[in-house]
Amino acid sequence: MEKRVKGIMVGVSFLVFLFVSVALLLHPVQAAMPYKQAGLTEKQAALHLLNRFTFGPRPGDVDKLVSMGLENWLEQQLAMELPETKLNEKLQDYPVLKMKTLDIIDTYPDNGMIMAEAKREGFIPKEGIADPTELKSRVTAFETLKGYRPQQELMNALYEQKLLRVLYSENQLAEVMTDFWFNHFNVSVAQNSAKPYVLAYERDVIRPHALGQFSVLLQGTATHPAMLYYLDNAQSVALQKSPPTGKIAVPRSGINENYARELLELHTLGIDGGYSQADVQEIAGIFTGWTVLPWDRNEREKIMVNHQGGTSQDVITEDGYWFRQNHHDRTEKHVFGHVFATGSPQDGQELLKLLALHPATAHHISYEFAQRFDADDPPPALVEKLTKVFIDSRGDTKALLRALTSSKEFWAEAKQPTKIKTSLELVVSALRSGNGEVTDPKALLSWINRMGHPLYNCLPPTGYPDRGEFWLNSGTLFTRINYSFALAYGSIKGVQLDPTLNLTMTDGLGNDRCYQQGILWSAPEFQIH
Amino acid sequence: MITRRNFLKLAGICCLSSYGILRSDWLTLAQAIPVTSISATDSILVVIFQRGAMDGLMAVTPYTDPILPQVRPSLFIPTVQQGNADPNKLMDLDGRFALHPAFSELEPLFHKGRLAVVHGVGLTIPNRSHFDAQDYMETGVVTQKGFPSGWLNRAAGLLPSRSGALEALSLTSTLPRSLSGEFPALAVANLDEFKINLPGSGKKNNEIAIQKIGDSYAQSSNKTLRTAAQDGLAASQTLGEGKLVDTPNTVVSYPKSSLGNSLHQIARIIKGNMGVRIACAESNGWDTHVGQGTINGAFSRPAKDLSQAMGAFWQDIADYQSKVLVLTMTEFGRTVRENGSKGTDHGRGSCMFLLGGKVNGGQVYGTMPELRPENLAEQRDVPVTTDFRAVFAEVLRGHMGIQQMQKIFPDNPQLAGIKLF
Repeated sequence: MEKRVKGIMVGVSFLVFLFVSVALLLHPVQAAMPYKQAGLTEKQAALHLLNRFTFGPRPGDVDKLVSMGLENWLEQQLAMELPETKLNEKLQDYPVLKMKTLDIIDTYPDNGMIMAEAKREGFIPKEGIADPTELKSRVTAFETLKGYRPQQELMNALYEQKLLRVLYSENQLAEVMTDFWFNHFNVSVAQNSAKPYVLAYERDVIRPHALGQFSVLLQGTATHPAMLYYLDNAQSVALQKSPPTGKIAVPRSGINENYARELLELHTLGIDGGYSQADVQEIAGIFTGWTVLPWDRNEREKIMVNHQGGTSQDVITEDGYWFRQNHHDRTEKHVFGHVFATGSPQDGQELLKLLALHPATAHHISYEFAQRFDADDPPPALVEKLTKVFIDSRGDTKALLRALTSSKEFWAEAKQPTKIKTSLELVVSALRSGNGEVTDPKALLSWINRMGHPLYNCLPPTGYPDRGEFWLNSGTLFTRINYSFALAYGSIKGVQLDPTLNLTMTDGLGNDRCYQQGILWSAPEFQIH
Repeated sequence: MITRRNFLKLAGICCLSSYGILRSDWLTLAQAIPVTSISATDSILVVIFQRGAMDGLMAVTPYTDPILPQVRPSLFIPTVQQGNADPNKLMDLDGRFALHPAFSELEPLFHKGRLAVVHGVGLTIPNRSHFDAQDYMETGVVTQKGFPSGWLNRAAGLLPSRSGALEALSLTSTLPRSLSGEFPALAVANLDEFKINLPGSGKKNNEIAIQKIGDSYAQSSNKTLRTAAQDGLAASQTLGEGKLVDTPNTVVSYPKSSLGNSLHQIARIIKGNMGVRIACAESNGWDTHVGQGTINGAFSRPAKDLSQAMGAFWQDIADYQSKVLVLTMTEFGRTVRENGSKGTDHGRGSCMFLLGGKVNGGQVYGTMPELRPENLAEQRDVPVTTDFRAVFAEVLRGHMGIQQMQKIFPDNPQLAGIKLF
C-alpha cells in the first residue's frame, strides 16, 4: 500500500521521493503530532521533543527539527541509523568497549580473585606477605605476568563512555531509551560480582534493543551474568537430597527467591500485578540452575569442553550464561494457570514470554513510560492509551513513543513543563546548550557524583525513582548551581565551551558574560525540561 | 498557624509586589522566621534507616532457642560471652538474647542502660517487598499506599516549639520518604558544600548571585524548585551565621562510610546549637541473600559500620546525650531458616535499637516466641508482635513531647503495650 502512496511523488523530485518513501516504509501511519491543538507553535513543539527525547537541545537544533519536520525527525531517531562519526572517534580511547564479555572478565579480575589465584599458583605464599610494599609489588608482578589490568580502568571506561554517548550521540533517543531501560532493569556496580559485567550488560542487552520489543529486553536481562549475580539467581539451586561435598568450596543447595520476586514486582507485572508468595516460589523454582560460568578461565574451559562433548543438557552462551541442568528443579510448576514441565530452560523462557505480554506488565511499563516522558504523576488516560498500544504492538517501544507524541497529554504538558532533570540530564543539557567539547570526562563525572546519584550505582533493584523531588532538593540544588557557575567560568577540567558563546569575565560585579551564563544555567527554568 | 513555609510564601509575594521598589530581600525576611521558646532542653531525634532489611535474629540472637542452630547451620554463632572482649563471640544481654559480635560499641551502652532493643517489630501486614515495606514504614500508614507525607515530617510539624531552618533535615543526597511532606525539611549530603560559590569571585559577587537566584526561585511555579531554594537558602544562611563544632578525629573516630559521614555531620550541627530537632541518616547493605556469614560476612559489614558510627556519634555528643535519642528502623526481618546461598530471604519481624539519654535501656522489649514453625508467621518468619508505630509513638510522646498521635498515625494502629521511657 505504501508503495502506491509513494508513487504519487514520482516526478516531483527524486530526492524527495526517496526521503518520503524511506520515512513511509519505516512507519506508514505516523499521525501528525497534535501540538497545534494544544496551542503550540512548531518551534515550541520542536523544543519539547528535544527536551524529552534528547539530553538537551544544541544551538540550532530547534530550527533543524522545524525544517526537516517533527515527524520525520522522530522517525529518523527511531531508526537509530544516524552515523556516529564524532562519538566513535571519542570512544576509540576505550578499547575495552569492543572486548567480548568473557575477555573483559579475564582481563579485569578483582583484587580478591587475583590474590586467590596468586596463592593457588604459589606466586604468593598461602599465609600472605606481611610487608604491604612487598605484597603490592608481588601482586603487580603477577598481574603483568597474567596480562591482567586494574578493574578501575574498566569502571572508568564504563562511566566515561556513558557521558560521551549522551553528549555526542546523534541517535539521542536511543541513548534516552537506553537510560530508561537500564534504570528499569537496574543492575549496580555496587554489587561486586555483577560489577565487571555491567558494561557488557548495557552494551549487549540494553542499548541494541532500547527501541525494540520489551520481550527481547526481558529475555536478555534474565540470562545476563550482570542480572544473574545482581539478583542472586546465580546462587539459586534446586534442593538436592545429598548436597555436594568435598571439592566445591561453597556447597550450594537451595533456592534463592530474590530474582523471582523482583522479576514480578519490578521488571514485569508491577507491585499490584496480582501475584502471591506461592507464585514467587514457583517461579524461583523455574529459574533454578540459571547461573554464570565461573570466572576462573581453567574451570570455565573444562566445563565448556565437557559441554561440547555432547552429553550434557546444559546451555552455555558466549556471555557467560550457564544453564546448569543438574542444579535445576525439574519438577512441574504452576504459575497463573500455566504448567511448566519441560525441566529445561524453555520453562523460564516461556514464563518470560507470558510475563512480557501480560496486561499487568503492559500497564506497569506504560505507567513508567508516561512518568518518564510526560509527568511525575501521569494522567491516567495517557497511561491507559499507552497500555492499549503496548498490548496491541506486543510491547514495541517505537509504537509507545509514537503513541506518546500523538497524544494530547504529551503536548498539554509542553505548555508548562513539569519534569525536573536528573543529575545526568542537567549536567549534559548545559554542556549541549553550550556546544561543550569534552576531552576528559572525569571532572564532569565527579560533579554528577556530588549531586548524589552516581551513574550505575543505584544499589536497590528499583532503579532511581523518576520523580522530581528525588533529584532535586536543597542540597542537590546548590550543587547544580555551583556546577553551572563552574562550567560558565570555564573552571571544569577537560571541558571547553563553544568560543562563539563569547563567555568572558569583565568587571566581576555580576555583569560579565560568564556570570550571566551561570545565572541562566542555575535558573529554575533550566532545571526543568 | 504560620508555618515557616507559609511565612516564606508570604515573603515571596511581598517581594513580587515590591519588585523594583525595594531590593527584593527575601533572605532577610527568611531570617525573620518566627522562632518561639527554643530551650536548652529541647530534645533531638536521630533516625537511622537500615535499608535492605536487617536480620533481627542475627543482630540480637535468641541464643538459647533450640531451633535456631538447626535451621541456621552456617549462620548460628554458638559461643556467648559476658562483655565485648572477644570479637568472635556473641555478647550476652540478658541471659536469653545476645548481640552479634560486630556490635561491640553497642554492648557497653546496653549495660549502662542507654541502649534498648525492641524485638519482633515490623509491619502488621504481610509484605515482603523492600519498596512497599519501606514506604509503609516511612509514611507510618499501612492502610493506604503512597500516603503523601512521612511520619517524621508530620511529627516535625507538631513539635511544641519552632527552632529555625535546620529543624528537620536529612544528611543524605535525597530526602527520605519519612521526612517528606508539607513541613520544610532539608536534604543535604555534605554541609561543607552547602553554599553557593562562584569560582574566582569575591563575597560580594556571590551575594549578588544568591540574591538573584533566590528571587527567581521564589517566583517559580514549580513547588519542588521553590521550596528547595527557599529552605536551602534559609538553612545555608543559618549555617553561615553559626559555627559547626568539630571534635578532633583523634578523640572521636567515625568509620569512613556514608553513615559515619552523616552522623558526624549531625553531631557538628547539634554541637553548633543550630536548632536541629529531627535528623535522618541511612545505613545500607542489609539485604543479605547470599553469604550472610557469622563473625565475618555480608551481615557483619553493615553491622560493624552501624556500631562504630553510633558509638562514635554517642561519644562525640557527650555533652548533649541527655537531649538525644537515636532510633534505628528497618523494613522487615529475614527468614528464620537460612536459604540455599547461606543467606536469608525476606521475612517479617526484625528489631529496633534505641540509644538515648532518657530511654529505659538495658532491656530487650517485645515478644519473641520459641522459633518452632507453628509459632512463626506463615511457618517461616519471625512474627510481628509489636507494630512498628507503637515504638514510633512511644518515642514521639516520651522523647519529643508530641501527643497528637492521631495526626501522626491516621489509621489508628495499636500503639499501646510498650513503655520505653
